[in-house]
Amino acid sequence: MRRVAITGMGVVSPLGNTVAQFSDSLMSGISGISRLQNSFSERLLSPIAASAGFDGEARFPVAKLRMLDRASQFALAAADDAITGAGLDVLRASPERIGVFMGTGMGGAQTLEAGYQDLFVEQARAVKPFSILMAMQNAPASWIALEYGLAGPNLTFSTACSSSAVAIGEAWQRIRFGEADAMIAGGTDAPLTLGVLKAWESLRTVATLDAENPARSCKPFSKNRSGLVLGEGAAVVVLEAWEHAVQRGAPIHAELLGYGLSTDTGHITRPSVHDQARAMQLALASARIEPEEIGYINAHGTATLANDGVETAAIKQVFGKIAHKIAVSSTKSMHGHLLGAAGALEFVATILAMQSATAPPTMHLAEPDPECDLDYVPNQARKNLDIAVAMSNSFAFGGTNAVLVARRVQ
Amino acid sequence: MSTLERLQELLVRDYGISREAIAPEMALQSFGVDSLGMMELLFEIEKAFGIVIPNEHVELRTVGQVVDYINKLAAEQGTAPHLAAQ
Repeated sequence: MRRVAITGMGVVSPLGNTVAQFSDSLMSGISGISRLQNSFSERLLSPIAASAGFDGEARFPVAKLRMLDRASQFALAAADDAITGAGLDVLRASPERIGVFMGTGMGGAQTLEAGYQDLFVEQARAVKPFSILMAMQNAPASWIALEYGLAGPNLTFSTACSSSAVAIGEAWQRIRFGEADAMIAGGTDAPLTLGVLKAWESLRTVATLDAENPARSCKPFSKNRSGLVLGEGAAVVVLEAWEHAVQRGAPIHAELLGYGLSTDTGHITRPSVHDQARAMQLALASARIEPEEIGYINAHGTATLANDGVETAAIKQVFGKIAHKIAVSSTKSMHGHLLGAAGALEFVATILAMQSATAPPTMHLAEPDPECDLDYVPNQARKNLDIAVAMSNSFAFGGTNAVLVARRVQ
Repeated sequence: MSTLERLQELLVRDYGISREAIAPEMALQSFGVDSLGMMELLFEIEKAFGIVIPNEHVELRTVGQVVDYINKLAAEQGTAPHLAAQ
């Protein structure tokens, strides 16, 4: 089986739209979460979100923009940075040997909502002809393939909050088994619409607004945590067969070593310690890594009551006594929950942690929940931390647990 | 405002081309309107001109042909395109 290198990374995120900006904010504990101030924010019980400062009009020609849902815009921008950074000359590398796997949770939610608004509220006679093409879940992956002429396998995974971790893991398999030489993989979501925000609000999973400091609303692993804050953006990585990357002198950021996939079967939302632990164990086994080699875990860490305690227990089940020695952080405390883009963005954060020997912090952790007793790197990044191998956890409503394990490149 | 002027306004807005560049003989394909793009253009024309475009196949290749088609439908449907556009 072939080894898999990560040769490119690109992000559109609430912490900046380049990997460098994302890294700076992440390691400085700067939050991308703020009070939402728009036409509908007054209708939200908790008007907070992690918005990406992304201007589609500045990025795309007007005729093209009208065919792109915001989720596809994010995906194209992140893919462009990843492919450019990898220096991947598609034609030279053979476009049939390069595919695109993307994850998304809400797909073209903005397009759907705008269409419903036209149809049901404005009583329009017709909806926009591009509605289907913009709203379909596979639009982001398709646009990336079209943009670069990538004729290898093109798939979209929708497993809620683990969608993009699944996309990266499945892409890794394709390269490992020789079905592709390179894969563009990641996820995108643009869920900051009234309809989507209200739906999450009704589930009672959204954090209560901290009026004094809205950024402090999302408090993973805290005793007084009250839920997640939705975010928007995309993250895309270029995965490449190791030899292929070495031969063309590509920049290698890390090696993707392992991927574990398991399913909770007890409940549609309630997470399971046993099954989350199983995903971590499967990832370690496929990476041929012993638990004590893991130096950093980027937790799923949603700051919901249900997740953080269960994830802590699952980490303890897998790592036993050494669980307390591992730096574990939830970067969602800064960039929010990007749903279908979360796994990919946090995988990029995990790679940055290894590269910079710095564990990003879990922000706003003043009073830990007694149930959450690991080392969550509270409130400040930890520098000079030798992280040779790291893990990124992504769990989901619907039960698809996906865990990625990567190794630093010397 | 004539039908051509109104159409020019729409094309400037939706395709980012300059008004001066839009002549009646200009091919729609030259600014990226293919068979799919045509669906979008017809949708915008319906809104802008207050006409209903029937589900029929019509060969429209140039800006001038589109203007003629709008005028023909407007006449049949009893709408004055230059008034509906206001």
